Amino acid sequence: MQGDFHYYATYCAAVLAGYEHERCLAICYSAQLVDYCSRSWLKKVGGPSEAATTQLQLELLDARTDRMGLNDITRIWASFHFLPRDLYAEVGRGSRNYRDKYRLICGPCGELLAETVNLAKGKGDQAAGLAMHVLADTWAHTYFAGTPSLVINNTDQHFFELMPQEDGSFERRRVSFSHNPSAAEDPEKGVYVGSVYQSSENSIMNLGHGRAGHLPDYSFIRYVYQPAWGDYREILKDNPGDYEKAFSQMVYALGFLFGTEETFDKDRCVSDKVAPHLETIRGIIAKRQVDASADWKAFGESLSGEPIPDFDMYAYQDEYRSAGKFAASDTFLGRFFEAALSQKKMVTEKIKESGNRLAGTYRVTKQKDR
Amino acid sequence: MTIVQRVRDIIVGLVMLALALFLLVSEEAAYPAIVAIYTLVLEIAGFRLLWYYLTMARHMVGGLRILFQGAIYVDMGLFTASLINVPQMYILIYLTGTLAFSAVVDLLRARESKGIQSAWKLKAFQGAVKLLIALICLIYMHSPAMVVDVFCAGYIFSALMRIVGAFRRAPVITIS
Repeated sequence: MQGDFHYYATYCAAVLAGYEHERCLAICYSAQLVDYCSRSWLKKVGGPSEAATTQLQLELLDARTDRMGLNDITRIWASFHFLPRDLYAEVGRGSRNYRDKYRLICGPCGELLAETVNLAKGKGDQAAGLAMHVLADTWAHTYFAGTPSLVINNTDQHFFELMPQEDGSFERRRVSFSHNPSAAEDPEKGVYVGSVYQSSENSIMNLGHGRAGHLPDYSFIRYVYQPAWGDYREILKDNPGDYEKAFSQMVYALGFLFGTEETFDKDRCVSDKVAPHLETIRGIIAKRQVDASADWKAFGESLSGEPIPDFDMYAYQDEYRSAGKFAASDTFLGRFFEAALSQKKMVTEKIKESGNRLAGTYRVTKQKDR
Repeated sequence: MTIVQRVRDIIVGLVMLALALFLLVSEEAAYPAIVAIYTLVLEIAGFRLLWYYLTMARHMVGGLRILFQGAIYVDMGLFTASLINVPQMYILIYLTGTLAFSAVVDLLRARESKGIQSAWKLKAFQGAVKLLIALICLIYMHSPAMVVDVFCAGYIFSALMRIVGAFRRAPVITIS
């Protein structure tokens, strides 16, 4: 998912869950920050490098793909962007390495999602926002794994978009992937940007949905393809339906974190609070556009009656940097870093507990004084 | 390209440079060494691919491609090893053939890159030069000493291109 959903749609979900405006902003800011909190950014703001929740392209270019490097990549991407659905999934074929990778395939409503939401309970708005990022991505990144893997994440030419027709049916249109990162995507012509085929199993080109580029992040798209792991079965990904469920599940989960829901049931993807706005939400989700920020923003402002500022990745930098060594944990970013470290620790330990070696061991090295 | 891959490319490039210079200096003794190294590299690459296919890629959509690649590498390696006892002329023909094949692959990749609006000029230049060298080798095949010199020049060119390529920043598409 992109900024339109992680920032503006999360704001809308927080309003519907009952949060007041300022707390909604804190939640959606934290949800969006997950996509910016790289080691390079942490170095600039003076945060702990272990709290990285993403990796920049330049960082990935130089990332090692030996065992230690792969563990680091997997800890970041599986914890925050590709939460595994079932760490104990039946595989029944292939080597242990294949099984380990297969079990990291992302999907919604898994046990780890419940752990993520429960972990955020009572930990503040930063933890809530971070959990909402993870939750939303489980819907958008379904069928891809947060570890470099050709045998899991590869896509081939059998990739079609289902174009809705006036009579309610769908027409198949082949998706052609350009491999030029600077090229513009053109949904009208069915041209999207994806990574180049690399036969090396652990190439970073084979991380997550890199082979399909940003296509899985678009809310309007419905597509069928043959995932590398799928025994030549064609799989349908219905983003409009999934994004609606993601939004409803966010409202429900935030209700749980706010205190209006007593428990969090990982399989529940509906919320009564969404029903009155369903038509508007469906309209935004189904609109063919690569960035739905303006529509979500307008919807959010109509819900709360308050303006939503644009996302500024350095908004809380001065507060964090000017806080002393011991007061830093009480700042906005300090609480976000704490939430990130907790999430990474929890997911890494769960992966390790399952006998899977791909995330390695969670370890925090002592930070130098800022 | 990761740092490890860059270092690997630089090392391979330096080995190729050393081999070319060795071949230039001592034409007689260099042939068995070249054949042995070619064989070793092809066999290792082939068996690695076959192992990858057996343990993982056979469960992948499109995984047969890996199997075929592995089988071809192993086969080429065995064929290369069999050249150890044939006259040097045939070894030169074989090496020239591999150079020409490599040139065609470079040109096809350049064409593919151009088609997807990616960087293609360096790859096309590399392919064109390799093809030219292979043609010169064929033309002067009756003069082994000349062919060895031209072949070495081609080898040095490939080695330098590999080293230069290791320092280039490659565009990459990732996800967020």
